[in-house]
Amino acid sequence: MKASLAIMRLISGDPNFPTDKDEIVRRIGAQIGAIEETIELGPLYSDALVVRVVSAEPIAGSDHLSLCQIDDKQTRKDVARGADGLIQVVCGAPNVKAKQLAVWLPPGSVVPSSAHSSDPFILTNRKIMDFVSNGMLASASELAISNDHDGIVTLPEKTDYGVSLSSLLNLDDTVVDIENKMFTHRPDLFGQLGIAREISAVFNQPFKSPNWYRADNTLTAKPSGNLSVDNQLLSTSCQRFMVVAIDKLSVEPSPLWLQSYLSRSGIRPLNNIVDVTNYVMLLTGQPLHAYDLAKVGDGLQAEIVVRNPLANETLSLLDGSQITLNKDDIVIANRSGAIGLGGVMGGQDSEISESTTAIVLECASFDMYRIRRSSMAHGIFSEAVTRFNKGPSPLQCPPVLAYAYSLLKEVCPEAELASEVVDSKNDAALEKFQASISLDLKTLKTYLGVALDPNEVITLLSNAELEASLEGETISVRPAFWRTDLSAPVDLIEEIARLHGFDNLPINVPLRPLTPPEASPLQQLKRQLRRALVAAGANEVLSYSFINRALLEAAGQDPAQAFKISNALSPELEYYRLSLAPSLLAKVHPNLKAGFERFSLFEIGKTHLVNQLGEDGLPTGAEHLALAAAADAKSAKLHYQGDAYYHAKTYLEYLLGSLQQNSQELEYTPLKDANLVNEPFFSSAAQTYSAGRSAVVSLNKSIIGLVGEYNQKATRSLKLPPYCAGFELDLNSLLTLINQNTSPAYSERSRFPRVVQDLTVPSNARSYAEIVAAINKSLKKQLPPDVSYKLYPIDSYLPKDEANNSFWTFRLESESFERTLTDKEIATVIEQLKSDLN
Amino acid sequence: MNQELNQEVATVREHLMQQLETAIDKAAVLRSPELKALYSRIAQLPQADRAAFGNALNQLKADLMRIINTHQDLAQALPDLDVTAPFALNSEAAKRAGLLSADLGSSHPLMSELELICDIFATMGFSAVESREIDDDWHMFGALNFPEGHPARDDYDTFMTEQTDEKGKPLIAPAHTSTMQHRVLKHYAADLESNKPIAVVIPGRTFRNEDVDARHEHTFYQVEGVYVAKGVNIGNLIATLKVFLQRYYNNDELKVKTQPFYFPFTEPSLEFALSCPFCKMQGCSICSYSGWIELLGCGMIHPNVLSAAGIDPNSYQGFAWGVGVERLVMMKYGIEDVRHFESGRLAFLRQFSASKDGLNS
Repeated sequence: MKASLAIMRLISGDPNFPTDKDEIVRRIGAQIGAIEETIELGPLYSDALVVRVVSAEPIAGSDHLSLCQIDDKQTRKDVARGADGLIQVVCGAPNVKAKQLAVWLPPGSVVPSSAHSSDPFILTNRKIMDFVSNGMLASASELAISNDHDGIVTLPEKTDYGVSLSSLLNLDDTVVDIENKMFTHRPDLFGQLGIAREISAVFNQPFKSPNWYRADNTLTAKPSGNLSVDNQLLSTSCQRFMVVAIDKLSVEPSPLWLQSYLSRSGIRPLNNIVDVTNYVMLLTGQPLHAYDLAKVGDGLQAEIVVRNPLANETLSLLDGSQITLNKDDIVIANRSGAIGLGGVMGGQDSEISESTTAIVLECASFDMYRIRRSSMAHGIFSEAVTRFNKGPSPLQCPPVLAYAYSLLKEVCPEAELASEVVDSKNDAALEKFQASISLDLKTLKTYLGVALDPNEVITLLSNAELEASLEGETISVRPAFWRTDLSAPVDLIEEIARLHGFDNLPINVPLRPLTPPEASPLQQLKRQLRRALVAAGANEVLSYSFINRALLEAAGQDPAQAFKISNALSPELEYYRLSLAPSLLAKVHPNLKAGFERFSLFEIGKTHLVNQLGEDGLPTGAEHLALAAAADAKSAKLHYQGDAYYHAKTYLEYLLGSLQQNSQELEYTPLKDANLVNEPFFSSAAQTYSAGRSAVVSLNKSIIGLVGEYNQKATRSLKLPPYCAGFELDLNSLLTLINQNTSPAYSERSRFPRVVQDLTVPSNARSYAEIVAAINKSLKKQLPPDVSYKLYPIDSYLPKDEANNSFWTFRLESESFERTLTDKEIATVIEQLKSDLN
Repeated sequence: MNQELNQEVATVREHLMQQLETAIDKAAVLRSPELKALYSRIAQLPQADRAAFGNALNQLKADLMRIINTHQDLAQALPDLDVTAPFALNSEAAKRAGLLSADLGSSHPLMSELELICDIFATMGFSAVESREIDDDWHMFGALNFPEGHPARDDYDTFMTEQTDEKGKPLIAPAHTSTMQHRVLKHYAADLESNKPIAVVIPGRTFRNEDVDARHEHTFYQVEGVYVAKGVNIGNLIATLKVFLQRYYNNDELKVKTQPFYFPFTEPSLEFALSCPFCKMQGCSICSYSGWIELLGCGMIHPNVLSAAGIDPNSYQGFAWGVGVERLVMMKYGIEDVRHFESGRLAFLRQFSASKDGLNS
């Protein structure tokens, strides 16, 4: 929302309106809303002068150039003048004539329209067809006032010349662009009148709205025509609809001041009628619309209907687009069809044109929610929509309409009212505005942390034209007719705190009891796991929660199981990920390509499945940790013997070991033999793993995750290196098991020496786990109760040409708490063990 | 496409499928002269038929490839492993897969900073509750005093899912961690009666449907904060955030300033700016030469939000804030591009490891 300090000073009519520009900008930021930009207009126009064209003679040999002598009353120094004191300028505009008043840009000045370009155009004493031109006479387009570049700007005869353009048009101005977001609830601040009021108030100065801005300012008309309104949406979507016919208009460019006020506020001038409606909107935040009466009525008669759209009804809009109306649109129509999309944009068929002589001027109030839906459905975000979807007060329609007419009279003195003012309004709805609000001083003090003097509070409010009174310990406020945002005591607290200044409140941290905050075991677990993996050289990655279909399919997963995003701007974001592996694995190849030869990436994050809902019926998702270890071919050959699977498994066992849990019972079931029917998250995650080279991991008989190499499809699609494997754990499952395990990780050691012996056993087609189980069974059977032992794998050997008969070597460490064991004793046990295993 | 062309493709399809079944080098089927001949026909066809014919050929090729890939998968599949073994058969102890060296490891800067943020708030008495990545319209908007269809919803650019909640409304990828406010308030409301304030921070992933550039991410982290007790005032809010930021940047000279703002779920609402920690307010590129950095939105919790959670707004007041974690961290480390965080690039991640060069041998 752009607000011009010059316009606001003008509209305030207050000689004491604040002038300290920097302080105004500071206080707007601190007490009204964040500023996006401040624009200084002054420097653009510091050299431009109003001059009189004394003579303009066509230059022989040119079809359009004129040689002009201009009079600046000798205002400009350092410029070449003739003996008569006049300045010579060559002008190419077709409309240049002697005795005109025009705008001159002297040599050395910058053409304002080029000032913010990368290549500002600096005027010189340029020779054109043998004549020196001292600067130029400027068009409105060159002055950055409108798009009009058909001719030079000319000013009314009575204008004083030799003066600066700045003084004539109030161009020594600062435009402050305030963030719209701040004003979502303040339709009044989409008008510069509203912002002027706030500025006064934050300077602790009383503001007085201009005389015309009174709820009871209504037009009185002597009708010569007849206008009727059939407002079918009075009870719901259009609680006020005012129209009046105005006749004897002539459509022309607006006076330069009006064009300049519009353009500096960000609106392009078009013609006097449309410009007046836009200017009034810029002041009040109330959009207006003018229809060409000849195009919507018959003579000075017209019947306007406000209604819902008909089936398949179409409308051509002002911007040239053709739309099919939908149910949320509010249609402004006459008897033959739609003439406007209410609150959004007027129709093309009733547009003001050069031939317009009479108009229907509309000032209305529409349901802000319906306007928003209508605008979103058609993708139209006009200035009117920006304001109407904040819900400006319908109580300001009469004065706004009256003021618009008075400005039309100013730009078109012949203009006359041609109908009664038709005011279709829903009285019951309008009465709900301006309901009084009570705020007790105690609540105010609680929020502010300090007791303000009640009289000061009343002054703060009345500076912003809010009628406030004190009754006992209660402040009672009747919101002004333009305020739609004040309905609860807390709204008044905001108003008071803001006008008083948040910076002026006491700033202290709250006092609280010395209770330690509640701990979150899951968050603690995540921290522990993160720390352990970092200490093991792994790098934590964050990847998106959303993946595309190609990645989902590359990971072998079923898109039907994933939540699907319906409105993503980027085609990359289609589905919520079902497991972490796909997006994590997608990071492997780029890092190898970037020259990282081996690494372990891990991520802790959430995964979601469509049918997995929490107790509240919403998808709470699962908490996963995934790791992927990879090495390029060269590095794998150099550093690692064996399959990548064992690399991932090493990381997994290290990680679980780092949790210092005693009596872990880890089990690995080959993925191809595992039953994951009741494990939707794991069965989905398993799609990415190789069935013969992966395992389902259980801790104390409960599944906690998967570990393994990735299948061919994933490997190929994601360009994974041959040496790549990983795991994915469910952290809530893990946490549950940890919580169940209360025994400490520490156990007492014996004072007696250990006996250490190695043994080698054949696998006889048994898995490693089966071999270990068999060894344990034999040892437990043989060893007396005072002996405890530990068994470590040391080596394995698969003879050439043997598929199944491998050998495993173990180290057995035995100790007794009661005595010194002998080697012989243990050697006997091992002999028996070997025979047990055969 | 005319019948004749259709038939031609169908005939070739049948023939090639038969070949696939018997061929030893199945990939060779893709190079068959029949398929080539069909492709070379495209250029000769009338314009109107080209696209449809081309599509039909591509479909045929895709089907053949899928079958060939499946065969290759089986053919190339490595032997099954003994998944229970601790290491590979015949591997030398020195060359068995081990952990990488500790100096290469790094936690993600957003995660370690989030831990730090939660730790600072923990010292101030705030417990931490994690946010969600899918929520419903009620928690994201309704419980936070956003009326249905309110224009304030437009500021959030929310992702929605095709799947709906039980009221038939799309589920939402939360655009702010405030989506947890209602749950947290409700969960701890009973504590208030025993004179225990509600003091919770809520870290979480949030999402906005916008294009990604150096300053914008569709996926980012926020930390929400909620504090409710008897007699809480606006100055408490400002002071709490101020001391947090001073501690986070380890700089007690930091100044803060507030600007009024609008959120439906707080009143008054404020935007919070921090004096630039880099230039001592002299102006630098990080603060766009303003001396101030806009950092977060906050405000006094709206009475409607308290009431919706069963807390009497006449007895209790509270404040809430939401701060973007990326912004805090980028400022702390001078990180220039928000896209680094989710890039997964080791060149970025290993800068947070002990070994700064990051390339391992």
